Amino acid sequence: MEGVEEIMTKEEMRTVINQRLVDSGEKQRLINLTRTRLNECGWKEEVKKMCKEIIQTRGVEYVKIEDLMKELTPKATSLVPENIKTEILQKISDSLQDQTQ
Amino acid sequence: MTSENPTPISTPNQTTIIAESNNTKETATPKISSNNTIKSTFSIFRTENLHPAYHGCTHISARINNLLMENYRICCRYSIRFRNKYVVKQEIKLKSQETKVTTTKKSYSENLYKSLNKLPLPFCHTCGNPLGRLHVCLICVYFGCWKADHMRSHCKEKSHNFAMNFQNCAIYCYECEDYIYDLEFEKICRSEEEKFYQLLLQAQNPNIKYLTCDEWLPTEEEAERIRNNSTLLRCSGLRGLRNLGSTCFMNVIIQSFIHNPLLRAHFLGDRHNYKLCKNQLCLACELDKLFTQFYSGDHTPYGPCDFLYVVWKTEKHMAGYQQQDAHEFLICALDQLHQSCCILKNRDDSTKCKCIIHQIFSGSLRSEVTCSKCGTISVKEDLFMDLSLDIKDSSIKKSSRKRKHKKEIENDHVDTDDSVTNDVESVSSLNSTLTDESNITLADCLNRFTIPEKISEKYMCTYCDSYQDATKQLSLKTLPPVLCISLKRFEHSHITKTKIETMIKIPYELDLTPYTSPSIEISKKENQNNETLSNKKNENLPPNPLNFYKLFAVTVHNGSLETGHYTAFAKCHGEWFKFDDQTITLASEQEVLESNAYMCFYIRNVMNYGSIENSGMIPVNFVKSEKEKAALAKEKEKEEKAALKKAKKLKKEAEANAASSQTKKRKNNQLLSESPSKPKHIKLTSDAKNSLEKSIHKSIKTEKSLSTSKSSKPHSTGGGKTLPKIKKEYASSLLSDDDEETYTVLASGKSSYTEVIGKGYSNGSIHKSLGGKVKPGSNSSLNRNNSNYNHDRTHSYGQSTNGNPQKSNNSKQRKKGSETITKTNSINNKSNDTNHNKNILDSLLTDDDDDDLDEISSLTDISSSPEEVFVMASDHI
Repeated sequence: MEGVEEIMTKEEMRTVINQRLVDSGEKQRLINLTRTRLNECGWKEEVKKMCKEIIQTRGVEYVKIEDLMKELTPKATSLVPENIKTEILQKISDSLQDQTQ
Repeated sequence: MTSENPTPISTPNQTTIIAESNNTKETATPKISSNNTIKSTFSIFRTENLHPAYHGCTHISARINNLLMENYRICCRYSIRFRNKYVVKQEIKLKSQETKVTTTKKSYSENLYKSLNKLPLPFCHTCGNPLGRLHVCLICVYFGCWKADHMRSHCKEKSHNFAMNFQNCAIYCYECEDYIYDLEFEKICRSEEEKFYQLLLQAQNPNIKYLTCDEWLPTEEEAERIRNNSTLLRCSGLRGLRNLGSTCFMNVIIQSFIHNPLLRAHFLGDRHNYKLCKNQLCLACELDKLFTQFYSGDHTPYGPCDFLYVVWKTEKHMAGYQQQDAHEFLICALDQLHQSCCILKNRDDSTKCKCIIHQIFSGSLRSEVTCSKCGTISVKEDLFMDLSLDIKDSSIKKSSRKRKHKKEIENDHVDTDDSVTNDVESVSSLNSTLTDESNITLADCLNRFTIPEKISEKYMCTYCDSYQDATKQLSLKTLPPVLCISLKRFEHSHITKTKIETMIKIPYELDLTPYTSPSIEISKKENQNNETLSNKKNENLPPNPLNFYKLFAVTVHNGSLETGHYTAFAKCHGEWFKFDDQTITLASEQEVLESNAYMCFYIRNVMNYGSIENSGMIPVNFVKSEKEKAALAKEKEKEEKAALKKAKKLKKEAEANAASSQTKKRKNNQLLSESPSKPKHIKLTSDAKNSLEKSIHKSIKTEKSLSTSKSSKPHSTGGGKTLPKIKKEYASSLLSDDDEETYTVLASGKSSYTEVIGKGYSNGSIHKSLGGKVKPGSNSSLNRNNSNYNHDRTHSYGQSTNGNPQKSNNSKQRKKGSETITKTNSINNKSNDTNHNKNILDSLLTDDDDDDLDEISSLTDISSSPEEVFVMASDHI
């Protein structure tokens, strides 16, 4: 970025990028796209299956949403296929480039 | 509300549940315990008969009241409409590109989009973040995000226990620390969804009038008759089919028909009665007999001999005891059923046929051929009853796109057929790797189906008048209510015939938006502009809920090309079952999705029932029973007599008052008001009719507005309100003791809760509630209703014109009333232009668009009210 004298921390950079994406409406589109892709490739079904297993083994009264999330998030994120990740990253950089232009 | 936990009641067969609840509605007295602090009209419902799982958690059971529900309704509406804003926008874009639409109808979708666009962007009130899993407090006006824990701190601070997740309308209970599922709230959410879908449908097809279907609930008298004259059968629609000699291919297709909700509704609704049909070798009659057998309550395996016989007689190549292909059989069966049900003279012209089979199964494919030399495009549309998809070549290994890019292109040229080459980057790179092996999904197959491919033979281009190379691209133009997909598992090459055993992952929910013609068009344009992008399905087209499908049946083939065995999975009453000829076993959804499917059947989530006039459908030529004929004849006689009398009267009067024109006019007006519906001698022009109806509606409107204007609080919010001020006003008005007052402030639609739960199922659910056909010969008014079916409607989910006219009129009145409230509000606030004004929000969320719908419906004598919802197909699975 030209003319920026301050060094932004990662956090600040993240918020700025986030803000830009949200304002342009791009973030919503990206979220929708990710959802579609994950659905198409069957990731959603896999995660659903994992959730069901946990609930069935422990009993529905004893599992709370937070527990499920804590347990499953690392596994689920590792299951996301690489090509989807690269695609989304590409889109983000494209849209940010378009914005600065 | 009783504070003890209700005794768990095991959910019996669905047939009996609804009958019982009908009973309790009429006869049971509510249990009132001494601890009853909050009295609610639905206490009967909650404690008497419903399974405890329906009640959410104890906290919400204790605190439920109209206020909470109305807030939830408004939040749901906001969420659904806001999230799907872009879908509407897309529809408008597409509409403007397509052929011309009349100006009035076009503005409908634009108006809708305008109103949706006014909805403010929701953001966390504490940190301003619009994302991060926003939740809405159900008690005050507060939006909080999850990640920074703002929502939960709000819940804690203010003891507002319940919040709604903005993304999916799920309710979070702070005390339970979990999402809860309460039947009544689910119903509210569902009704809001359906309302929105109706708006969406109308925006998509402005020229078609879409109907909402009333739920048929029996009156006291009818319920009495039903109870006295019919026997409840414990039937489930599950019955094994005996193998009559390699007929497993037929058995699986029959099972898929039996569990097809639309076919089931058609046949159980007596729309093709084998006793009345006079055709010979009619396959539809055989199917009707099958339905009777399946729902007879008899669970022993049934041998479909008659069905087989008719098939043999009509499709001779299917005759004999050899093994046949199930897909081929499906095509034959559908064709035969079409022949039996079709009423056109030329039965082979399927484009014009509106028989039930075509209504259910047919969609259209758009095929675009581009000449590679001159670039001219020729478009052709074809009907299809099912899709046959190629399976991707499994020899191509899928891995990260960048790494194997070059190699894959080489592979493509080697392995795929000569006729198919991809002119852009390798299609295989679209596939994902969940594990290290190649996993092909149905989406991949659909992708392949809709990519441009080179035609092998030279194409005669009319523009450049020579034979050229050309590319062809397929896309789905119109989607059928039921989509049959079959996978081409049998490969016939020059040398060998092999069966492709590749595992194809099928999804439970399928979104067809990327394969529809508009989507393909847009992606094509993008590709032309930007050559470097791969030929991916267009991402800019938002997923349209109207294109969502759910799986309901699967056919599996085990064995080789020469010999094998078919089994089927189908969803019945919400559970999956495996059908292996006469053996039926319970199956899990996982099992179904992991079975190596050969054919799968999907049903659309949102059904669109168009009006008869616009669909061009002709009433079914039913052979009427003698009773019906007699009744009709009597009615005709009566009408003729009355008309003759009127004629005589007119003549006399005309003679008597030949001189003065004024008196003549008076007489005419009298006659008009007396009998506006007798067309013989008094021809009401359509204008006069319209004005008559409008004046009726106006009078209802003014009546209602007079009565309600007293109770509504005038909103004196002037000037640009900032959020905190509104919060106070809103909160105070919400928490005030005067429920009725606050109710009219918030409520934009329904004024009574009972209406919410009263709607939701079309007449098709008769069959579900009584589990099949009512015993023949009974005098229940059900039969009367059915016979009215035959007269007026052609499609099984027709709306009842005899239905409950009073009921719908009342709700219509109420609807008009509430509209006037909000209209006065918006007038007061005309000067405001802040997006956060609560009143604008309210007025936005009222269905001002319903005005259009109301007008349309009022012009066509259909007694429908926009509030009554039409059924989702999933209700019947």
